[in-house]
Amino acid sequence: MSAVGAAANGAGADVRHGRRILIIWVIANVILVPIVIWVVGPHIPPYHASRQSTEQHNVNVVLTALATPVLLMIWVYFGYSIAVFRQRGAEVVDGPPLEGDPRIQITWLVATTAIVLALAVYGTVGLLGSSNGAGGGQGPTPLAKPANAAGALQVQVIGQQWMWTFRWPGYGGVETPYLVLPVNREVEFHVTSIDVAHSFWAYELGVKADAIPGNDNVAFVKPTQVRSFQIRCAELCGLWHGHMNTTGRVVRQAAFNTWIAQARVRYRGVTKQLPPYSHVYYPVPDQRAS
Amino acid sequence: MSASAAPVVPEPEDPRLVAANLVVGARLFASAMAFVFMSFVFAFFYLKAVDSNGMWRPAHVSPPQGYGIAILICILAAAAAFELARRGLASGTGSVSMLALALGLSVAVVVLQLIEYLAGVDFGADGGGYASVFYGWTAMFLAFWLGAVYSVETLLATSMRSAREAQAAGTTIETLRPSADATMVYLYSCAGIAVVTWVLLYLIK
Amino acid sequence: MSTIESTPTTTPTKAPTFREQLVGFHLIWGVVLAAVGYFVCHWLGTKVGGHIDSQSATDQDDLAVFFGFLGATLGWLIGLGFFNYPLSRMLGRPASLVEGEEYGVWRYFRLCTDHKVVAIQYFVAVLFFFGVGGLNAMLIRGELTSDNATFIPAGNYLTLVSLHGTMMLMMMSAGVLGPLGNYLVPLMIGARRMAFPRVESLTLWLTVLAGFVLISAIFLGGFPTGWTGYVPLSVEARAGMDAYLFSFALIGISLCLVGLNIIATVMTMRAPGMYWNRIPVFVWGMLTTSILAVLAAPVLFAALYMAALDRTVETTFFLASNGGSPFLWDNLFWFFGHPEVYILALPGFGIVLEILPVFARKPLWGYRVAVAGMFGVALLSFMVWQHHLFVSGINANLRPFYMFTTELISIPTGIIFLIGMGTLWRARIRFTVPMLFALAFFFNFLIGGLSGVYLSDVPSDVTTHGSYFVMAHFHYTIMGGLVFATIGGFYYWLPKITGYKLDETLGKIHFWMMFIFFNLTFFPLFAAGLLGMPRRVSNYNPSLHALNVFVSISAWCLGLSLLGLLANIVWTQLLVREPAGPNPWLSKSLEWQLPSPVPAYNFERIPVINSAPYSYGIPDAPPVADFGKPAVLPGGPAITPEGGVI
Repeated sequence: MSAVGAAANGAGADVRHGRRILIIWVIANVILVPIVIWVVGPHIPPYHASRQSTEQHNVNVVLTALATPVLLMIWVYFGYSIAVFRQRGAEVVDGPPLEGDPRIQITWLVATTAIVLALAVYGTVGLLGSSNGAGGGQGPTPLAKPANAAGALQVQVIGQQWMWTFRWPGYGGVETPYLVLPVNREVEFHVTSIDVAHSFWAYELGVKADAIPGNDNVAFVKPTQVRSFQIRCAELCGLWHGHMNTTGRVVRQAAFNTWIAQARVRYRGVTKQLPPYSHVYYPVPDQRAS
Repeated sequence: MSASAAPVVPEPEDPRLVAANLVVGARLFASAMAFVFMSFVFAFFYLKAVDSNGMWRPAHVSPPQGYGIAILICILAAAAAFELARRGLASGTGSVSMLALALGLSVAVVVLQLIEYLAGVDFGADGGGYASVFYGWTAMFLAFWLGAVYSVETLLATSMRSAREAQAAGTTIETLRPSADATMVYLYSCAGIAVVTWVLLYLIK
Repeated sequence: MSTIESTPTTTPTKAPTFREQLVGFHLIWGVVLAAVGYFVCHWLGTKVGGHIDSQSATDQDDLAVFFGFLGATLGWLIGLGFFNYPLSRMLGRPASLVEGEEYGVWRYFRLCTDHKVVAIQYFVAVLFFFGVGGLNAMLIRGELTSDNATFIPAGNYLTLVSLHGTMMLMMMSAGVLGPLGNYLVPLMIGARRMAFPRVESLTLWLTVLAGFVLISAIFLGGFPTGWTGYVPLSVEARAGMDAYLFSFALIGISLCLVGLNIIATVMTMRAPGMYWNRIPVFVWGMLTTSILAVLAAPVLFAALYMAALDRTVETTFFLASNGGSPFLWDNLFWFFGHPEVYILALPGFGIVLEILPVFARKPLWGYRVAVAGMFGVALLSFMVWQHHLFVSGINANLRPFYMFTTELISIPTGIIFLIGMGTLWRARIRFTVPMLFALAFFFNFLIGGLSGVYLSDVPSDVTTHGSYFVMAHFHYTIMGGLVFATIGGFYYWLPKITGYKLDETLGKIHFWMMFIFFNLTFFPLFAAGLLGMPRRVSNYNPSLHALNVFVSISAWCLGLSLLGLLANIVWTQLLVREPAGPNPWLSKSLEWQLPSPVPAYNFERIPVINSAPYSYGIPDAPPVADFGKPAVLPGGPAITPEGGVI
């Protein structure tokens, strides 16, 4: 077989296989991407208990919808190769000596770079936009704050081995063992710890902020549904890390006002004994001898 | 893999290959060492910036400047003496006396550092962030410096033995030079790190 | 005259007797002196600790434990004979490159400078410790069949979790560098030895010691922090924590030295004609991994050292109330930790890209691009570490940057997929067991990599951080990626190492069981994480009970499938022992042109290399190397193919 003939055969075969793979991939996408977005998508956690969890949910759906064509491309290609490019029989035959094609490589690089840049922009916009940090802890000087941050309800979340305590600076600095939040109101969590590292994870609300001693970790959330939510510790903190769970509730503003007023009354004896409200708490004496 | 078969004996090792190995290995080790101390540099600047609870460097915590200067000078002098020794080796003139001087200075560094810990420093390891970095960093440096002492001593001993044997056999010395080059890389790196250590721990604090 | 002794200058006429061997320096003395060293130095530590409040006024004895471990390390190394050479050098005796290479089975139980022996020692050690870690995993999954702490008390459960993670990370970091890197790198570049043979043996024996020190944590009360050792918990924990800190530090040293050795070897010891563009892609994988190991492991060492100081002499690197910061640990650990996971991933890339051409019977498609991709991964891996800290309270300005760099790293990773796909294009694939594992690598790593994109996106990460989603992600990339590739590599290269092939049928059964049960075990964990299950807990939401039971059963079946690998090894290597011949896979790579098993000193003559080892499909391709040409004159310089002198 002449070299020209071989090359022509090769080029023809390339186009043939390439077209087939492309067609299979397109059909698979046409079928699966809508299923992913509209059938599977709504079931991807987290759900819609807060603006932040809604943002996360949307991001997850978008990422899954983007991942589907990528996944399918690799699966279709490998599946086709395994089915078609196999050696049948015991004889060992070499394939064509193809060592690379700069056009394909450059196209791939450009395409993957474009996708990555788009994702980075999308993620940044999602993070800094209306979700105000998407429920994640932003440290002491948050970048993405809600427009009316001054009016947000301040709640300090104090983690310790192995329970959560919630302190309310706007209500006399009372500490409660339960978290109750008013619906449709901006909430500003200040998460800290008084011993080891914990992580405050209000699952349905889509809030997660590490509780680090000596650090004031701020996270914003706006609950949009009246419901209860799980609070778990998401950073290994010792023996009963798995038991550091409690249940929080989102209630109407009026119910919240009643609850916090009752708490102030019930715990007023304890509140008098507490140290003054501060963003971080150090043990006393807080100066080491040397 | 039989128990009694002797291995096939190949050609002898090319000394230039060994020399190349030593120099490449020394440079790689110096890079690794640089990253160890980069961690301390990071710790220094990070803890200083955070100044958690105001306890980065309480008022009474201050390093003994005299010891700092003395140790730094000994380190630099040891490196300089070793450089002279290495040049003597390369040019074929004697190197034993310079190597001995380098060894003496290296040991002096160790002694001075230990005395500084026991008698020179007037704050404990629990005296705040700076104190922690001070003790941690200097102790780690001391451990790496002991490696330098070992290298210099080995070269001195090999040099002395080779000098005697060369005089007896009338042959040239072949592998001292690459070992000296490798040790020079190590010493220069230690010296560079020592300068950074002194600037951060004793000057900037 | 101070030349290098590289060979035994006299060949003894008879083998040493058992008693003569027993008296020498070997593993038995290592163990004995390690025990002696531990107890002597532990006692010394209690004396020194008497001057430190935290040690004398409480029942904490961390200083004594650390002293003990240091003593054990010294005793171990002395017993194995690692101090003989440095001491002889300090007395001025000449340098040498050969030690302990003579005779039989004892070589495998002491310091031996033959890189092939060290590789086999590594192989056994890694398999053993992988088994220990795997056993821990089986117990963990056993506990997780109930939604609260039932069979295993809380403290022991945490120790199990911590041991599993730490053992796996420690051992698999050198899981390819050790066995396959040490064995194959000299063979693939046409060298007789590694650059620093004694250091090579040292890295192995430090790894073995580290594994046992880590296991000793069980006897010191266990440790509760997981493999990440977060402060302040790790500073406050009981003495088992010291075992973690010390063993991980030993591994850090070992990893750094393994990398150093491999880089030096590849840089200086390539055969004539082995230009940089002819090096097998597996060696490039080892090289890029080694760069990460040399630079990242020291940072781990520094961090562990700081934690040890905090636990003993009362420094406060990590104590916020006294000038320290828990974020210091986070940053130092993850500055190491992220390159660490690429130390795990890159060898996998190297293995599969090396295997694919052999069984596709085509050249590697895009050799230079593949190498560029590996370097891209290595370089970027130093710039992404804060993605482990997105919700930890780091400065919020940093998060978009690290999100960007983390997503960027998927580009060079994608290149590996492109090269794999290109190599399969119009290939003639033979589905041997190594090829099956290589293909499964692409399947698993794709899922692992895509899940990484979710984690890199900060809003999505808010829910998935610290949950089982992360667990599924890294098990898919590390186990589905690296472990599958490594097992494929074992199936591929074991015939070269021992001379006996593994059984294809048993291998295929093992593969399919492993592949199916691996995916059944770990894919549901993505759901568990998204549904709110945190990591490292034995107490979870009862609604996830059925899912966890399903995963546990799959995990046990996965463990059973790995027993299949063990059975295959025992059956073919110890019982049946059917010779494989020099090149059962018909590979064009240099190591396959040698007899199996490879003889001592590898090559009778250093070969002159003609081409890269991927000349499949080229009808008149010359052989990869010319073994007949006397490229190296005895005692003289090496000669290039053109007749020049190197």
